[in-house]
Amino acid sequence: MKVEKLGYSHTEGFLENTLEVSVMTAIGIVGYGVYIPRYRVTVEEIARVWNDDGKIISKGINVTEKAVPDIDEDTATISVNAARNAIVHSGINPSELGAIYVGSESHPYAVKPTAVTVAEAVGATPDLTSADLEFACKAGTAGMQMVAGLVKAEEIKYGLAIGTDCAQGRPGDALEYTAGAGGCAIIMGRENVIAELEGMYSFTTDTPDFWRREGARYPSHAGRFTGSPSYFRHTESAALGLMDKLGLEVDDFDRVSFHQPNGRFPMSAAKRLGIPLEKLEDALCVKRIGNTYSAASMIGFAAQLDLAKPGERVLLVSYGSGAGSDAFSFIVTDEILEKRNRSKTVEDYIDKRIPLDYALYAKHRGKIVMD
Amino acid sequence: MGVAESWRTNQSRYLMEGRKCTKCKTLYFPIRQHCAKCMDDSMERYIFDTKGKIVEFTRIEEAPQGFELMVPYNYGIVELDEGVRISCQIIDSYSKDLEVGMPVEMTFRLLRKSEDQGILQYGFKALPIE
Ligand SMILES: [Zn+2]
Repeated sequence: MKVEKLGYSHTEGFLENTLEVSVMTAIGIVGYGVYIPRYRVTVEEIARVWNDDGKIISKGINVTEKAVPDIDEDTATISVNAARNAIVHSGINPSELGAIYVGSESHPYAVKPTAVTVAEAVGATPDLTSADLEFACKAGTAGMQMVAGLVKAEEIKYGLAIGTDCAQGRPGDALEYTAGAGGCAIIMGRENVIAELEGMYSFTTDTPDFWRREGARYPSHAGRFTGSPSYFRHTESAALGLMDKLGLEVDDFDRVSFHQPNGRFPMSAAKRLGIPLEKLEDALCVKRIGNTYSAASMIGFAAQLDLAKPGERVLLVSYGSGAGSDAFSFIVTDEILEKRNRSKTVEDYIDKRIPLDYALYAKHRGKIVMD
Repeated sequence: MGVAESWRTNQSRYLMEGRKCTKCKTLYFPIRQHCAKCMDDSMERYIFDTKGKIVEFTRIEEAPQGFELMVPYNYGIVELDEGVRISCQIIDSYSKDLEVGMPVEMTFRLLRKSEDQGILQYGFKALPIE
């Protein structure tokens, strides 16, 4: 956008040679960081306990193992550690963060925001706004939209959006094979941007595919209903709506990340959209850390940014049950090379794994009743 | 630790915030108002770096209340790169034994989960790094 200021003379009218042009710089991602707990339990180990065929299940969902938080890790600690990585990566002073939003469906408290703990633990308090957000697995990208809006309106200099979850699946339920843990933090602003935000678009309807009632420990889901009318319809509509809005074609994107409740759904969505698998492959973290819910599409996106070259266009589409999808298009800048390797990559975290058997996994996830 | 005390010490537990004597540059953790060396009271805020090494540790097998699920765990003294010693929990990984001199990095964890209705206490713990 160009802002033009014209000089004015009473005798000669507008003067051309006093034309001042200030070009508003684009907004985008200034830094990002992830955190994934070190522990893993394999699909085969979970299947062994429930007398299922682990090999068949693992192949069916295209997931080999999932990340399990330590006993003293939760959504707040994962958020803080991801946020600290993002701040190191961005190179900003945390006191310049004007907004922090944490999107999750596993906030430690029912009442008392996770975002304030993050704000305090990264040194951003007290001069900022913050809130916890909830929209199944897309609350993190909803935070990105809010931060982008505040930055664009010049209300804040930098804003931080976090998608994070310590997902819980009822023991023996299909969700137990995939319910993982992890977080991704994204800082947006105008200066030293590593990926420019080209545009965003959302697709939202009331669709009851997955829910958890207040006070219930584990979520419920509508089985097969989670596929076509829900995940695929929203993910594809958001992706196509964004392309339509920006005048882009599928082939204009070099890398994509979709929400990944399992290893199959994002592959099918890519296929239906006509996106070759190699553009999605690097984002499919679900295969080795499970479904990280609010963090899933964002960690996949971070994995793409870890590898992206300047000039590449990256598509991010989240999906949250209930249901909605947020789509974003980013164009990677030269600055990404400058900031690379400042903090741990997605691969660094996925690589460092400590396997657990089902008994230790159950202890970690508080599935053992003590009273 | 009650709710009020927990809140007052948030900054030091969350951020590893200590004090630096502006006169003789001595660093302190936890926060104190006067310098023990030169008795000066012109102390400034100092955020410690997250790297250090294990000085000593002991393994806790019998858990106090609120720590039942964490046993066995290690508690010890870590010397930060700045030379200041702090006591904290040292995270274990099941897979290998802790040793004195092992490099650690401070990470943000849940310190204590008291009874169901209580507040959750967060802060730093030392995580051995390879
Ligand atoms: Zn002094």
